[in-house]
Order: sequence, then structure tokens, then C-alpha cells
Amino acid sequence: MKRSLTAVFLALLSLCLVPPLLLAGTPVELTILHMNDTHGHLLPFVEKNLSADRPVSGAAHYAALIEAERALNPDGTLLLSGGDMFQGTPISNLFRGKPMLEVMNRLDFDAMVLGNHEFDWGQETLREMIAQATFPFLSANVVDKDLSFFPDTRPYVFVTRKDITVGIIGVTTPETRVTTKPSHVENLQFLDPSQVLSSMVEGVKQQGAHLVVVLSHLGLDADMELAAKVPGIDVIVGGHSHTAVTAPVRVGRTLVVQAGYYGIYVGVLKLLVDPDSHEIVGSSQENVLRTVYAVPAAPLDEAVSKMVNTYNDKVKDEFSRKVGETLVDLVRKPYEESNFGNVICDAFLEASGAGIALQNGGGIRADILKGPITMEGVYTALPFDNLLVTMDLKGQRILDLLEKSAAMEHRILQVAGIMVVHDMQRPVGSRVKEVFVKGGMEAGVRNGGGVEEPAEAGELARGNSPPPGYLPLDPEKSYRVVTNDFLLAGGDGFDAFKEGANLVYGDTPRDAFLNFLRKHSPIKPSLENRLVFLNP
Amino acid sequence: MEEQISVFVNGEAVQIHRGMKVKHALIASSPALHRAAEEGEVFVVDQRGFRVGLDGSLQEGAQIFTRPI
Repeated sequence: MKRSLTAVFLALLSLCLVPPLLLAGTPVELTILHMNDTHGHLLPFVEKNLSADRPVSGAAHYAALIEAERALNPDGTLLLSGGDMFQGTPISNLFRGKPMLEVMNRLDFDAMVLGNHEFDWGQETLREMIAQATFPFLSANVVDKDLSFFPDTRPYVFVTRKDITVGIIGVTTPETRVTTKPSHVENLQFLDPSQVLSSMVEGVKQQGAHLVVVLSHLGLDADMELAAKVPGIDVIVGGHSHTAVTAPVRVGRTLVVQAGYYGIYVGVLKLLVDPDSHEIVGSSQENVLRTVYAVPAAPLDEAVSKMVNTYNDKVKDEFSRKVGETLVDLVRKPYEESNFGNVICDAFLEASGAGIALQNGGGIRADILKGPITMEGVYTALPFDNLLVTMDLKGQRILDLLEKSAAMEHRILQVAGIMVVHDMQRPVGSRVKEVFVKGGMEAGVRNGGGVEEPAEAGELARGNSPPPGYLPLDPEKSYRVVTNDFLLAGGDGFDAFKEGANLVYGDTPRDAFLNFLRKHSPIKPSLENRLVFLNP
Repeated sequence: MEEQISVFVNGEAVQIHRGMKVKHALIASSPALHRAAEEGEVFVVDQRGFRVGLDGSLQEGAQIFTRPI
């Protein structure tokens, strides 16, 4: 009897001791879900280079995927955004990011870093967005002139899951300063992220962070440099370069991940964390991206789907809204001056303050008939999300561009601020006979809009004195020129734009035209002999 | 910050303005390549083999490669 009781006692004792011994140091699983650079992609679309017949993305689908992943580890999951979530599609642009923000609120994001495109609609709109978000916007390196952080943002936030405290620090690309319309980043400084992080990583650890995650909108190459430079970062969750990182990149002790772009992927990084030392003892080695297919069999979040569809219906209303009026047909012409080209270029001058505007004819995709102009009409005519770029360009480079245009390998450049006389009997490369610049325009000062008296083509052809108010183009002089970023990169072979200096990025051509319509409707653009072709 | 940066498209250096994207590098390299990428005939990867989107940012020294579908 005594031996039986002893055996029972020993058995009970072993049951008490063994489980704690087994549990001591059992790693804790955390899951970091992340998205970046969705750029307002709330609706599915076909990404041709991925799959021609299976649409991808769509908020209803990535919401369902996020919820499914979260359900696998409900107490141990964080959801983060690497920035650039809002600007990019009509459904998001027309409502200034509101639909995407509603989706993010619904999904309970834990934090988002400011991307460069968060500034596209100006600081006031950004602050309104931040105020409506249920999650913090982070950036440790965007400050004002007094070195205060951007209003209503924080440099970092702490999130605790399964008793593991994660310090999440946000960093934004300093290139925001040069790639954004200046008035939208007025009075802001974009500090060097590595310098800011060097002290901040230690700081958040001292405040109790067991793990440090940097939520970065710098691009993968910059993230890897950062990981090599700044010790103590456990994970960098990235954005900006639109890289689909299918297996985490390890730099020293730091894991670097990024989930592509446009809502095509959701990143899923699993970490095993020692609960005592808080070291990461295991992590996903591969398969860290889930592709968001939008096929009928794919899971769908019904509530998000309904919300997105409501906004999509509103897009149709917005598209039918009148945004201006034209008293004449706005007509494109591939190889001649066109009145539509003229008014678009006039809009560019007004938007930028430049003296000369050049727009590729191929970038204007449809005519607009006389009468009311709808938003849809403008979107159809100017569908591309290019940006206007203003630059200093030497007169000789402008001549090179006009010669390229006169070769007629593509639709010709439409212009404003200059008048060009061509002799088409001359060989390619020598067809530009005369170029006159509107007087005072070299400094980029434009005096109002509206129609001016066109110079007589005959006067121009005779090579007489420049028309009133115009001066001959000086090849050695520098002019302030506005164009779009497709041409800036050398699109359609217009390589001379690459020599532009002192670049300033601005609105999209579409927004510039919409603003012009608001001010000047009804418009009545005409042909003004801006482009004269002798001996055609 | 320098205005122009050098990036590499299929091993060849191209100059683009700072802040420009993958698509701009393709335009600067070859209009045909840019068109092929826009049409989905090729996709773009970085030097690690990760796919990158046409609107992805590039920094000095970035390397991108096009691959046929």
C-alpha cells in the first residue's frame, strides 16, 4: 500500500514537473502580414506578365486572404503597410484615397509608413486621411524645419503579441523631396534614414521592445544597405521598389521582405521567438508571398466587396460629371498642329510656370467633341498617369527635339510658348528652319491664358523678323521647359530631354488640364501657326 | 543628391533621372523593350531574381533584367 501511494505520488510529481520543463523556452510564433504599394488597386485586374487569364488583386480578395492567415495565429499576427497605398487608380484617386483607407481600417492594420505618394494630394489631404485612420502612420525621418515629426504621425509604435513587444519604426524615402510637387512637401525635411535609425533602434529597445521591425519605404536595395549599416534591426518590411520578395533576404541578423505591388501579393513572414531571450530562433525561409488571385473559386470578403462596389458605382457618377465645356471640337492630328494639342500644352504652361511646353501627340488618346466635357472624356483623352516635369533645357537641345519630331517617326510634338517653321523638303535632321520663343518666356513667366493673335504663316516662312512678342530661339540659352516623364526618359526616341536639369515634378497632365478647364471654360482653342510645315 | 543616376538594364548602363522608375529605365534602354514589358511579353526581375513592377523605384546602380514570358 505504502509502495502504491509512493508510486502515485511520484507519478503526480512528474506530471507537474515535466510540462513546465517541456514548455520552458518553447518558441512563440509570430506572423507578420504585410502589403505595400497597392496604389489604390481595389478592383481586380489582369497583370499581363503574370497571368493573361487569371485576374489578380482586388480588396475583397486580399482582405479574405489576410483574414484567413490571421485566423491561423489570431493572437500572434501583425498587419503592416509599407506605404504608397492610395494614389493610382480612378476609384481611389477620385475619392482621395478614402475607399482604400476604409478597407485598411476594416482589416485592422497595426501601422503604415508614409510613402512618397502619400504626399501626392498635398499635406492637408494627408492629414485628413491620418485623422480618419484607425492605425498609426509612421515616419521617423520626415520632419519640419524645427525637426518636429510630420503632424499626427509618430516615428515608431509598440505592438505586443503573445507577450512579445515589437517596436515598429517607419522610414520614408528622402527622394520624396525631389519627386513630389514642391508645394506638397513645403517646409518638410527628409532626413537620412540610417542616421535616424542608428539611435532610434536602441531607443525603442530601451523602452521595452523585444523585437525591432523597420517599416520602410526606401526600396529593396536601400533596405539591404540599411540592414548592413544599422545594427539591431530584426526585420525590415519594405516597399517603394515594387519587389516581390519570394524568400526573405538575410543581411547579417536582419530579415528583409517586401510584397510586390498593386495588391497582387500579401506577405506572410512567420517568426519563432524565444520567449526568454526574445531572439528569433526560426523564420520562414521561402513561400513568404501569397498571390491574390481574383478567380471565382478564390475566397472573397463579402462586406469589403460590397463596399468597393458602392464606390465603383460612384466612379461611374463621377465620370459622367461635367468638368468644363468646349465651344469647338478638340481634335488631335498626328502630323500637324492640333487645337487639342495647343490647349493641353497651354494647360501645362499654366500648371508649371514654364515658358515652353512639349507634349507627345501619342499621349493624347482621344478627341473631345464640342459641348460639355465630362470627367470620363478627360480620362479617355489623357489616360496615362504620367507626371509633368519642368526642367532647364538648352536651346540646342530643344532644336534637337524639334528635328526629331519633324522626322515624323512618331506623332509629332505639340507645343506651346514657341512657333516652329519647318521645310519638309530638307533632309531629316535639317527640317527646322526657324524657332521663335514667346518673348519673356525664357524665364518661364507666362502672362495669363487665352487665345492670342496667331502670327501669319507667310511672315514666318519668309524668315523675316520674329512675330510680335517672339524672339529667335538661342541655342546657347537655357529655357524652362515642361513635358511629361515619358518623354523625359527619352520616350519615342526624344533623347535630348535626358539632358534636362533642375527638375521639378508636378501634376499629372490630366490634372493640369482639369485645372485649366476649371479656370477657363468654356474654351475655344484654335490653330495658331505654332507649327508651320512648308513644302509638305 | 545627383540628378542623374546610372542603372543597368540587361547588363547595359543607362542614365535616368533620380526618382525615375523601372519603366523609365526600359524606355531609356529600348522603346521596343518598354513596349514588350507593357504588353506583358516580358517581365522584369532584379539581380536577385525577384520580380519588380514597372512602377518600382530604382536607385543608383540598380540592376534589372527582362525575361520572356
